[in-house]
Amino acid sequence: MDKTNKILLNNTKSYNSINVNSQVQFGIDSTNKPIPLNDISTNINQYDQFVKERKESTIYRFYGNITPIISNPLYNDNVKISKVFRFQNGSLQPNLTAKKILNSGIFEKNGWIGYYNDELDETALQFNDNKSALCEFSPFDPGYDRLSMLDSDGIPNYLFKVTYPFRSKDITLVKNNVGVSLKDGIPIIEKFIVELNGRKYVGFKTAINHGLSFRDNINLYGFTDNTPNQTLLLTDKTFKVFKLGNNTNDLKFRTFIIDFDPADINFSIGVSTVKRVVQNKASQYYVREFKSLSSSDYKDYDIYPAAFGVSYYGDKISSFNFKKDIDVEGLVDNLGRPLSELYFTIVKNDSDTDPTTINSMYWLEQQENLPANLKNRFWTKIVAGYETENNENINYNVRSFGDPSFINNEWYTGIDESDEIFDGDIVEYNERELLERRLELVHHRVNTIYREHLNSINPNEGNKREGYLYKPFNKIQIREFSNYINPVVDLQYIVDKYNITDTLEIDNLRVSYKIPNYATEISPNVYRWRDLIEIGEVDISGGGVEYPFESGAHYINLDKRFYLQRQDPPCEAILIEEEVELGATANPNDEQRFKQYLNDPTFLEYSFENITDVTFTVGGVTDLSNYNGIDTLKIDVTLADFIGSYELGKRDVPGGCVDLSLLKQKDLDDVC
Amino acid sequence: MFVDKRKILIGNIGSGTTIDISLGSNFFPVDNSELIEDKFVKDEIKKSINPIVDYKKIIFKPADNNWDIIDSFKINLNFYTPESISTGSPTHRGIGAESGVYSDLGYIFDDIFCRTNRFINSFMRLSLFDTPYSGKNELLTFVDIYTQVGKDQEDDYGFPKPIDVSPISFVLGDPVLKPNEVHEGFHIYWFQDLVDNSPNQEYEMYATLQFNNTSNGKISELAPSKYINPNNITITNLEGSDGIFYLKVILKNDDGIYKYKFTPLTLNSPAQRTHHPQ
Repeated sequence: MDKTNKILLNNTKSYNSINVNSQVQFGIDSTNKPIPLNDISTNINQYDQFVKERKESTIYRFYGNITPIISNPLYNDNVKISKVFRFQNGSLQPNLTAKKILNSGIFEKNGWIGYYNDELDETALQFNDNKSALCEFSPFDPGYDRLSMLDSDGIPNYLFKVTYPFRSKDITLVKNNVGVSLKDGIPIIEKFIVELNGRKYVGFKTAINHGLSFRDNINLYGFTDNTPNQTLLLTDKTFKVFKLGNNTNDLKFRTFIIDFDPADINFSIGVSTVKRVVQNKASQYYVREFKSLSSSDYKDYDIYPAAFGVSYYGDKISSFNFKKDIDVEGLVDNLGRPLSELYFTIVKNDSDTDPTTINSMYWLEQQENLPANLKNRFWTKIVAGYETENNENINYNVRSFGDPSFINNEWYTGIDESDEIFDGDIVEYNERELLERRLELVHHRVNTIYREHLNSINPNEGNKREGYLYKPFNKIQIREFSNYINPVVDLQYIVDKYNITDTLEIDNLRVSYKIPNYATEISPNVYRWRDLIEIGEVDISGGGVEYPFESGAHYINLDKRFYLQRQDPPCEAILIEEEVELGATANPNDEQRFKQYLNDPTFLEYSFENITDVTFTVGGVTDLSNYNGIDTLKIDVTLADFIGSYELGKRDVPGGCVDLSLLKQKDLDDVC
Repeated sequence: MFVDKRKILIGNIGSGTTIDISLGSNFFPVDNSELIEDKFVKDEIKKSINPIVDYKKIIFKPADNNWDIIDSFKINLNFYTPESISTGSPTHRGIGAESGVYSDLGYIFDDIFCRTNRFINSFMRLSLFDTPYSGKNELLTFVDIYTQVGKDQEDDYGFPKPIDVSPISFVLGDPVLKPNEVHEGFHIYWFQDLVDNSPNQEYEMYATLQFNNTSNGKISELAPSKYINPNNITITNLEGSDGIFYLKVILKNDDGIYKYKFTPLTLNSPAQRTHHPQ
């Protein structure tokens, strides 16, 4: 008994009071517990429990390896930076100096361009690491400390994030004045004629990947019907893709052919578009935006060298482990569906090195006359776009960024690794298929401030606007939608039959019929959707995902590649010849020019214009740069000129696609 | 229904009289199978299922006394010299941070110069326990750190030093920041949730050290200390948080950065890292 009440008789309260009958109510509470009448035996299935816990878990843990392919063909300048001590104001003061590396001293080691030290390095001596600074290979800036995936200076060069597509947006892919954008279809940029078996067909090239296949149905928008009575019925009919590819059967992802007389149809760039059609439903086209689920403070993961991990190209493979658990509970993608994809995202860090190093300080010194928003940065802000066709009307062409011909075009600009939201890929979505297809992946582009604004720093040089590109988003398939579309569920039939008007009742019906929230309502109360396959389940067509479940979390191993590539690797090389005149009576500028050519990374050779001009005095030619101060020697200097697809300034290093054998031939025909 | 009737005369009832009423009940089980199936069995099943235990381990990086992460650290070993043992008055070599030398352990110059098996297979084992009491503690993890021929053991020209000046030292460095140093033993790998759920997000372990000498098969128990005065060791307590055999290690979640540090002993600090009579 847990409560006691004392009730006093009335005659104890007052001498006038008497006792009367009183009634006290009391309650009797009892608890009970069902007791089995006999032995109850229940089996607990360990596997079922495992499946149950796995289904209920929305926690993901990511770990894995990244195999990088990184090099520095786009270096600031072929200089060796060092610190020297000079007498200033009566005492030794440290000064930064840069020594130009002669062309003959420029080497490549595993794709990195740099030099082998041929003199004692003061920095190394000060470090006192008991090793010789001689014969050490040093890449030009940006070097290992700014580009490698693993960086020993303690300031990471890249930031890893986990992102997911959370909304979509529209962009104007090709410039036009009539408001046509990506939502109106894939833009056409070129028309061509294909002749097959004596019959002419019309072909079109698209600005980006069109996502079409042979015999796909398509709608054409914004085309001109040249037939006398507009018999093509372009706006009313759906047409079939006759063939993919151009005249040489190449470029199948960006060209398609339809069975029209080429004379009957014309297009307008920026206005004419094409859409894929499935069961009379045209596809939607849009850009997905990605939102970060992890922080920007480098605390969410550890990165370290993979054991014995070196790629074929000598890059160290990095391992990483996300300490932070990624919880996707309640998150939906841009279509309102539970997440089926996450993205392992790598973004370049623009503050990627110790600012007190001599290399950092040197470049900041070089940039001190640039505007305030530039001079203290090493890297430009990140710009993003897509690998589109080379056409000045096309926006978001990431390879064209910096080309003066594209000066008025658009890109995604001002991107920083600390951003929470990033512009992503271009996708196609068709309501009949209920699937998204990625057409173009976004690329990030970054260049050094020094290269980008070289002309402002040194008026004798032009800007070097070719930067580095990389793909930031790597797909992680955490769930899969079924390969089969669930049969259409028509609640409207029931609503009409029983004359249901209460929305609550209709909602209950949705629950009863197990219609998911993300189902597409193709008409009022008629739904279709794809089931999201449970983790570990495989449907009859092989769809589904399977990965370990442990400690209440899903473990996903990622084995990704990271390719830092050039923006526009030049594939064409020509030889150019410069004439210089050396000697006492020559223009002094020529001596300077000659020295400059010898330092130029594209220098190939020099030759005497006329060998009989050379006068060998006693002791030979000791100083060719001014021809020993005597009259006069004409020299032909041969340099290479590397030409890319875009006008991005002088290129110092050829692309891997160039035929280098050309540079070794000495043929008058090669000399421009 | 059984009713126990009693007659009570009114004259027997005085003012304030109370009557005890006994309530008895017999247990008649009724059909509660539905309740049993719906609740009882489910509750019992739930009770029988083990809770999910998080086995996720992560990296803990070494830090200094101020919890600032360090990129390398050195472990010096110091032993009683054979000469002093033979005289019956064991003493250490050197003072302060100076370590012992490999000749104290019976190695010769050729062992280091040629990296003989008896040298390179000798190692120091750092074991981590949950408590500093050998009778009841549990080994959590251990790491073997093999002998090194690094900068300490080489002269300015890169040649091994003479054996009587070749220090018994182990330099451990961060695999990213110090790629040329030995990394085994630099990090501690431990369960993230244990640290996250510890008071102040700090979790304690106790380290012991052994040196396994392959040249003579001896295993030496060492007295580890973060401080550097080997001659100040007083063998009062071997065990416990003040004992000289255990070095407290604190693992910490410092605002999302996971670190560990060795902490000084209290009674015997400062006491030097290692020593044991051969």
